[in-house]
Amino acid sequence: MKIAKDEIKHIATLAKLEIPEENLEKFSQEFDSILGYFDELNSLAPRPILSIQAKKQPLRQDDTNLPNHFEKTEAIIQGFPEKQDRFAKVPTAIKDHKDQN
Amino acid sequence: MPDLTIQRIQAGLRSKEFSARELTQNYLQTIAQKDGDIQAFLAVYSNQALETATRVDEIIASDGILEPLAGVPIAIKDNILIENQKATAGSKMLENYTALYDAGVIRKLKKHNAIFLGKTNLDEFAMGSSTENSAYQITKNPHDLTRVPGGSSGGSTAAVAAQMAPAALGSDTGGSIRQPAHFCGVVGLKPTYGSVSRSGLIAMASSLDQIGPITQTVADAAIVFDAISGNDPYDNTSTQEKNQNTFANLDTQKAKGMTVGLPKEYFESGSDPEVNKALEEVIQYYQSQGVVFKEISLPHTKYGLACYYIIQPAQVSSNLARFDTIRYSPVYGIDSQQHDLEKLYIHSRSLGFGQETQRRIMLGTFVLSSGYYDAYYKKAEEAREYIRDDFQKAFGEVDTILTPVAPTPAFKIGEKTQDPLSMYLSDIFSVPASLAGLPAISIPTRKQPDSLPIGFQIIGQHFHESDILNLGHLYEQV
Repeated sequence: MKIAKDEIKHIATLAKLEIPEENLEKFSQEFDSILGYFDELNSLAPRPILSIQAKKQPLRQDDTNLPNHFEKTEAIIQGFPEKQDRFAKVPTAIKDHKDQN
Repeated sequence: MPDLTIQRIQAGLRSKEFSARELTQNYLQTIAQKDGDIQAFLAVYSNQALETATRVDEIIASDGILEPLAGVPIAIKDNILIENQKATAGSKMLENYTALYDAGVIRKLKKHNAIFLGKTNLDEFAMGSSTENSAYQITKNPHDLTRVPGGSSGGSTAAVAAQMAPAALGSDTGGSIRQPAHFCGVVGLKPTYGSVSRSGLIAMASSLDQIGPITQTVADAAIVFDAISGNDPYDNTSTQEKNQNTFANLDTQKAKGMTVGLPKEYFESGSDPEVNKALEEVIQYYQSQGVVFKEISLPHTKYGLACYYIIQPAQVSSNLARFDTIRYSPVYGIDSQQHDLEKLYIHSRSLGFGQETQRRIMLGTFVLSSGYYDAYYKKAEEAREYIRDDFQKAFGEVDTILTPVAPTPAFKIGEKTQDPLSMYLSDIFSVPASLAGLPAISIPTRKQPDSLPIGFQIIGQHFHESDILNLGHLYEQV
């Protein structure tokens, strides 16, 4: 199956990656050869997928004082690359209404 | 003291032939001598290793209780977390990330007073078959420095092969312990999915990832497996079953009574003649010991690789979505104030992830996207069912299954980097056991002088690590 360059760009947007224009062709060719290899799966008859229904799925107790409660919240906060007080600091997420025009 | 096994170290420490400190110093010295060429280690913990060794020596001096791995130096793949140490997963994305907690396996090893020598190199986020995808360095095969050590646990297998560590931990998703063990001439065990906790293993493909030991002998692999396996409350997929005590129960008599399957699909498909020749010798040896072989068929083997290279990238694209550079580690060279949030994500991820990682994130995003989910991901899950069924049927006739680990011995550095599909093909014999969640071990065949190492694979039934370790142990009784 031939994957167009536009489609590669769209996938990159979904994956939050940026593929430089000059690499799109190479990516498209690699996708072709890899996806071509996947085609042989089409000869398999459809069947129900059973194994993902695990036999016994242990559930944790609905309790905040479990013995394995994670206690290193402070260390996580200390590890943020940029922070303000106890929050991870990020650049503007929502643009000002006036800036959008 | 070259070439020490864990068993030999246990005896030496207990008889006071050498101290844990002397032993550790010796390994640190070997690393200093050899690792400039091999480049297996990303970090070496000289001070902490010697501190733990001193503590073990004190226990020995006071006739205290020694756990099996007390004083045994171990190298750890750098996608496994050790508290307050860096964990890069071989990626620029985590260049500055320090682990906040110990992985489940590290907690267990610390209780043993095992000694952590350092962190070993890997393909970025454990994606690759050669360790060439590391953002930091290319590890060389100790048997031939122009060749790859295999991957993704190439740093760990090279460290053990070069006697820079008597044992190491690796992780295996589609062959990442077994294939580099085969390339480097060491033993590598991928346990049953769920045998060993995945807590603190940087997630790659969560339905496949499993930590396991890399050692010089099968008996040593059993010792390490016993130490790291078992339930962990931090991993809900970890086993509720009792530990198997595989080492204490090693039994070559049991192995001699086994029926071993030889799946024809693994022997028909164009392996190197030397790989087939090495396996013939293994089979002949086993036959001379009374092991019975039976030809079997695993008819869906040919779908394994396609199935794997859909499911694995799909899970990679989900797991790696968490790396946004906001919470763990910044990517150097990005000024976060110059971008809005969306641009910051995109720029950091494009700079922080290497080429192969980006390729797999893209593939995974594609096979999960709404127009293609049924054609690829769902189809791959169906194929996985067929492959599981194949094994289940086979285990009605045989106790274990013997196969090659990979079609060729170690290839040259750079040989396959330009052709991703040819790189993926080196995993053809290792992925089916992963897809079925089965335990499998790679054991070196007897090496011809001047030739490259070649391993063979034994696959066992779920939670029957004892079977494959027993059969492997029998091979070492020559």
